[in-house]
Amino acid sequence: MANEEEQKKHIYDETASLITRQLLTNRLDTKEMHFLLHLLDEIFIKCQHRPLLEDLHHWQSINQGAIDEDIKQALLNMDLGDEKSVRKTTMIIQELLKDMPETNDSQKGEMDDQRKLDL
Amino acid sequence: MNQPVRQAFSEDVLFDLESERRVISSMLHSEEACVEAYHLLVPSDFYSPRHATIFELTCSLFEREIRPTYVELLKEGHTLGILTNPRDIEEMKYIAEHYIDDENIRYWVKRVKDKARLRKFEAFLRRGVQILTEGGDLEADEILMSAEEELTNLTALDVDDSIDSPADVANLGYEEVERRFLQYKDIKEKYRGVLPLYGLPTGFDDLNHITLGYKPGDLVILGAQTGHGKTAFALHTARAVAVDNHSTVLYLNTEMSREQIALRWGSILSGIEHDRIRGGDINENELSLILQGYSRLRESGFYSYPCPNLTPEKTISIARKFKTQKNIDMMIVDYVGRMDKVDPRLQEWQMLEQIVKTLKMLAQNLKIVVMCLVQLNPDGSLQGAKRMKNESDLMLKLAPISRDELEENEELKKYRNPNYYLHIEKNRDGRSGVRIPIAFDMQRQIMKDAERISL
Repeated sequence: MANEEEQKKHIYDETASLITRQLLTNRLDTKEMHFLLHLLDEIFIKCQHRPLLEDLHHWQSINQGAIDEDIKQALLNMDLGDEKSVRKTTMIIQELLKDMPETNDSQKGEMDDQRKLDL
Repeated sequence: MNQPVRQAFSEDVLFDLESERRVISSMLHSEEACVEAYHLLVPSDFYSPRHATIFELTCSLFEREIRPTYVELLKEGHTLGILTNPRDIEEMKYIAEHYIDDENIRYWVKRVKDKARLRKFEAFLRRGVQILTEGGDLEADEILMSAEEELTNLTALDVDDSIDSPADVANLGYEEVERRFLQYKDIKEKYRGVLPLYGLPTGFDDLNHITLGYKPGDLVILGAQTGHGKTAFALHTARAVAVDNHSTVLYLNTEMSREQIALRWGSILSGIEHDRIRGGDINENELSLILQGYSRLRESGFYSYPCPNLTPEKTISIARKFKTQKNIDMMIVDYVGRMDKVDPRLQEWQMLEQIVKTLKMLAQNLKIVVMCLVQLNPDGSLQGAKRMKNESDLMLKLAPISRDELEENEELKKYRNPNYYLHIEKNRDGRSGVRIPIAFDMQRQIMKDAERISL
């Protein structure tokens, strides 16, 4: 099997397991888990919602806790199977992220370390 | 009591957990591998109860038309309360990570299947030892006969196969005749003399009368020259079966786009010329008629699968998938000449022969009707026709009636506007060598029996 293909499958399986494990250790609730798993399949299997994915990447690079909860709520209320709903949520997220400063490298490193500790 | 058998060999001869994991992993990462494993294995083929459960869950998702990805498996496992602590997830992940090249699925399936057969053999030996250990007044003939029958089932026959005894055949035959007799009586009373169909309607009264319909397991071959109505015939059949009779049809087209197929239906179901629909040259009343036609299609059992790179293997996989998920009654392959060659060394006729054999096997295994369309040479002949004829249950040819014949053949004068013959070249269940005059309106893509003029 091509190494790249196997690597892709591995990332997919690892991510899905990580999300489900978070539920069993009470770090996510059922609704959050279902959303994240659904998003994973949409992106990995169906290769959809590229613009939304770019905005989520952008969100991760921003050091602004104040808007995190708003973005999370917008995401949880979104219907991933409905193109209109995805577009609307993407616009809301873009609006919320507008004018937010990018995180510098040392802050990013600290956030990554914290995330690893959480896992 | 079982010690003598178990002590004789190492236990891992009876199972191969790695192969079981690889089959499940492949099912979770490839839809085609899933179709393959779904049809070749049963839960009891897995030695590990955990693997059997995961296999069952995966199959159950597939049957519900949910692509059984690892994510869907985790969701399902959580909903059913199978995943209760992080160790369960680790176990699932461990299985999922036994990646294989998807095209090797048959190899791994065979390994799982072989171990399952060996376990059955071991159980057979154990039973034998138990009988001997218990001792007493043993009937050697009876024991050996029973052992032989059991062993034959393990070696020569697949698990699902069985031999019909003379009594089985006689009972089955009588039940079939009685069922048909009662059905015939019932329909005759209800519809006054209209012959009952035992299969799917063909879309032509005369052909219905001669064949009694297309039956499950039948391979129907329809040959026509280029531009002489192969697709029109296929869609005419689909209309009779899926729209008018509400049965389920899977239509595989190797040449046309989704839009082209959808547009053809507009013409077939409204009776408006295809060229005008294609060019948009219609009025509002006609638009409304077309809309009504599409409403009927929406309620029908017609599933279309445009597939330019169709191979025999892909056809098998698609047919199995749709049989499981949509319970199709019929599959139409339009057309086999356009299928991709798997082995480029094969001649065209050898390739056709192989495809036709595959389709016949598919029809019998899935108990569906398979209709395949083939292209005739300009002189009306068909390369490899003899071999194809052998495999088919019904072989039809669609050909235009020549102007000379229309003028000279007195029999044709008894019909209103016949322009094509539907020639029954072979009919396993009835009369063949018959030519049915039909009226084919190419512009409207409509076919029907040529109407008899009442004298």
